[in-house]
Amino acid sequence: MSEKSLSRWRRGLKAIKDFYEEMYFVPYRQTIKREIRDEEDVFKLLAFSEMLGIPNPVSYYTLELMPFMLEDFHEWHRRMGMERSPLDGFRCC
Amino acid sequence: MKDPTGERIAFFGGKGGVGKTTCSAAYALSLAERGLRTLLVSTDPAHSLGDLLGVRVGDETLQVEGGLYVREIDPEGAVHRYLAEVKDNLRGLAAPRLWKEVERQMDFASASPGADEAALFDEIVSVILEAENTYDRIVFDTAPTGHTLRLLSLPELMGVWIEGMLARRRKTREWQRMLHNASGLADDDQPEDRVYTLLQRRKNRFAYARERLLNPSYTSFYFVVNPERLSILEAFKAREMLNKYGVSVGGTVVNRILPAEADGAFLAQRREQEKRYLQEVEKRFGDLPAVHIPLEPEDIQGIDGIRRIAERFQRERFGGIPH
Repeated sequence: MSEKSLSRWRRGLKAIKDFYEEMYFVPYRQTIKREIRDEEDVFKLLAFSEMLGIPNPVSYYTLELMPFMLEDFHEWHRRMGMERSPLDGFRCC
Repeated sequence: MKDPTGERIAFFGGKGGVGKTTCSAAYALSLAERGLRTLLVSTDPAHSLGDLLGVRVGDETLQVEGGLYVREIDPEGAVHRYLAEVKDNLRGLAAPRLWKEVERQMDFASASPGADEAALFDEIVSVILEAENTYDRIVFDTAPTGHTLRLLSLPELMGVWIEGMLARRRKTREWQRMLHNASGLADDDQPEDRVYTLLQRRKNRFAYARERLLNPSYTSFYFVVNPERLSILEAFKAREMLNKYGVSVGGTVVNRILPAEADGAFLAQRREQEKRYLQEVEKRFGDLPAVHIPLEPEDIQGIDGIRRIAERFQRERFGGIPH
């Protein structure tokens, strides 16, 4: 077999291997992403529950987290199917 | 800890108007006169320390005389400083079009009922952090009982909440690391989690406060009562609460006792009633050291006024005052 066709074989094999790996990893990554999202949603609730009317003993201290969580919050209400922020007290857009 | 007697922080509490400020100032003075560098801090939003000593006390520490320094905590100022810092962070991170809305939200949050309290607590922790290495003793003149008790229960409650948030954040972090690996990326290029860092700092502050406030050889609480029913009952309830939280109670000051030389049928009758209340104090606080301070014919004013009480504290070596 020539050098050229050997390397083509190798590439073909690698493509098949990558394909199977992806078959395995795509749902795996999706599951992880969903877990992260759920965890982050609970975290948002803990940090800003006061805005939903749930008393939060540390709301004064979590105020300092707000600048770092704005993006996250924006992503949340978009994902929940709301074009604009649903909370009066939290207008990110 | 350089103080041989071990005790570093004293809180003076009690019902409104029993003479907390006077007694805590006298106690601080008696420590200062024994050569201990003492910081007296007023946490009562209605400050009266400056009026008692006849000086202008503020957020900045002021040397009154010798080793006696005083300071009044200003929760409102603390809220403003904190907000300014958060807004500064916001400007560095969020798009300018968002600033106004978010800042408005912050102003609302800072006006909420818990904010002053949280700020006050934070300031108390700051004072302890700063003063620990520069002063031998810190004496707190607190606001009326209920307010102070809530304040002392804060680190417990908030610590648990913050710990819950940290746990969630850690879990997310772990998932993110797994996602990272599954995407074939290197382990070490994850950005620093600022939210986690901030929470961790908060948690450490609470832990620091708890460690000190709940250490009986470090912090003691003293009650000021009058020979009068309500102040005794309130102090006793507070004592039970403090026991629950694990704050050690070091003694009671019974303030404004009718002196023996006060004469007249009216005062004789009052003294009879007072006897019963003194028995009540004995019954409820008898296991703790107590100091009796007589009612004086004139108002107590200035350093010279509180010195008479300070001498009494020193004579009885109240609250670990050294020889």
